Amino acid sequence: MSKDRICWPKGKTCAVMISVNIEAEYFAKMYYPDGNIDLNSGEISALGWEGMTFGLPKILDALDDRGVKATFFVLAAVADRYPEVVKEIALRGHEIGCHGYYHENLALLSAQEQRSVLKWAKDRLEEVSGSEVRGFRMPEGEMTEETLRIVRDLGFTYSSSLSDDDIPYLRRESLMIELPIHWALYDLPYFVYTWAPQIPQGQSRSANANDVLENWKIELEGALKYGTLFNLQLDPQATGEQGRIFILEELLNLIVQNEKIWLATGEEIASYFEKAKKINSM
Amino acid sequence: MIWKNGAKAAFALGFDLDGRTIWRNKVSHLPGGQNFIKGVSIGDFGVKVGTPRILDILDEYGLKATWFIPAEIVEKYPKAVEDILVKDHEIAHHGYDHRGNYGNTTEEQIAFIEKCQDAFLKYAGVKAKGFRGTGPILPETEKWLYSAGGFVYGSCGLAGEACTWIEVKGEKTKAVNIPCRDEMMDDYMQTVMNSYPQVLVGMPRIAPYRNPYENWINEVKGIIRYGTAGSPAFHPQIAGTPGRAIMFERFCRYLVENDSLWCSTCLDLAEYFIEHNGGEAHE
Repeated sequence: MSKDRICWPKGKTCAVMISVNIEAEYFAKMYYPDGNIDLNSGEISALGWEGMTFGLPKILDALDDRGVKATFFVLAAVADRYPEVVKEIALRGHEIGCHGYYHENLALLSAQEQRSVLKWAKDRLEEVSGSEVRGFRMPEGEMTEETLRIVRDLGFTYSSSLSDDDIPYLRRESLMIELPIHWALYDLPYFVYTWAPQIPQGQSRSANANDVLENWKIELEGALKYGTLFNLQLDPQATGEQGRIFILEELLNLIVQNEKIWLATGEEIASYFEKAKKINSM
Repeated sequence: MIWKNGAKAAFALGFDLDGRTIWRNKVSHLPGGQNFIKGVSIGDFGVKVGTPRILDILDEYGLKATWFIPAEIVEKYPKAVEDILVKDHEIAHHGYDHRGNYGNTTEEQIAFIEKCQDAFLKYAGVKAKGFRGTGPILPETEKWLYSAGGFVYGSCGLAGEACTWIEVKGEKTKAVNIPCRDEMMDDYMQTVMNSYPQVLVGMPRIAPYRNPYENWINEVKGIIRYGTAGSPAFHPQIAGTPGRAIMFERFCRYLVENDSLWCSTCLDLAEYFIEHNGGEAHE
């Protein structure tokens, strides 16, 4: 059943999208979404800084060494803090997408507030990166169909935020193209750890990187078997860490050496899907 | 007892097809929660993608399974249920919308279960004969359930390890317990994750895929060792992702290659037990 649901270009069996969420210290909002924590001091600030300073360069090198173009979903607040870094990501040929301004929990904002903050974020990211921003990834939290309608009105061409499929699809309600994600392919929840405030709250031990790589390899095997989109989400402080970067390198080696895999950016996948959709409806 | 074809033990693959119900229940009390789309998208995967993929795998290995389905899912996705029934799988009771409240009195609880049965009959053409509840019920309701209520078996979490007659307050009923040790065999618990609201609370790491897989194998070995029966609580929204489907397929291969095991639906297991243990037929 699944295999026939989508045809990938050039006769490829499945698609791989490497995405990197650039959140710096705002990663903590995934664990404390309702605010009232200090992002600007202590371990949260330190871990965000480590990711931007030590993690990101290793991730960029791992990608560049293999000629892989990735999609970076950037918080505009991080572009304010690290404009040179965001410029460099774009200069190295990667796609810049939008991840919100301050990692807002969009579902809790009014339509007008969402529109303002997302427009502001998109404009700011375009200004800093010098490239057009077409992709949207919801900051962890919640959103509504209205959010996606606003995102569409603002000129984004796709979202990569939801988990109700494993191939691109068009959302009937908001007419947004969705490139689905899955938490098992997101490094942060496996690895992130701070003592104070507690992240994760249950103080679960940081995962074994070999185990995470094994999960990802099994998902890649599944993507090849079922012809789906393998949508990897990275946070530089997690996989970019010196003792973990090897899992990205090993995974990318498998991907670039496999001729059955179409490795593409979010923008390329959405654009292919858009064209295929037009052909299908003709 | 000796199971069908001389097997030492019996195993019934069980899927809880919860869809979005469990996700909606987590946020419906929050302001605007009814309109949230991220959490429920995880549940929707189960109906939209997970179920057809799992049906294909079951087909490939010639395995029949039991699908525990909230009545609301039966009402809203009759096509998905038809696809399950057309392959000779069983569908069974799993609440109305997966909320835990069956009512405060026996009368209310019986009416609630009958309401679910009516939905099964109307949208799927069959009533449930198996029960995997989504909340507690009173002993009197349970007595009714497993006699006049027409339920042939229960497969609920933490109901012991024995495949035998279900007793309510020391009184034997006409129904059979198909054990479900969900802490060993619930894939949702092992690998689900969501941040808002936190699922699971405290955000434990999701397991390496081989951990739940090895637990399944260990549990089946235990079932064989003690000659009993069992059913897991797998979830199409979890078990159906491409990578998890690879693990599930491995498990199916293990099951069909295991000579000590007879695999069929929970209902088949229960009826076989009843037939070989002098049980009375339900009228």
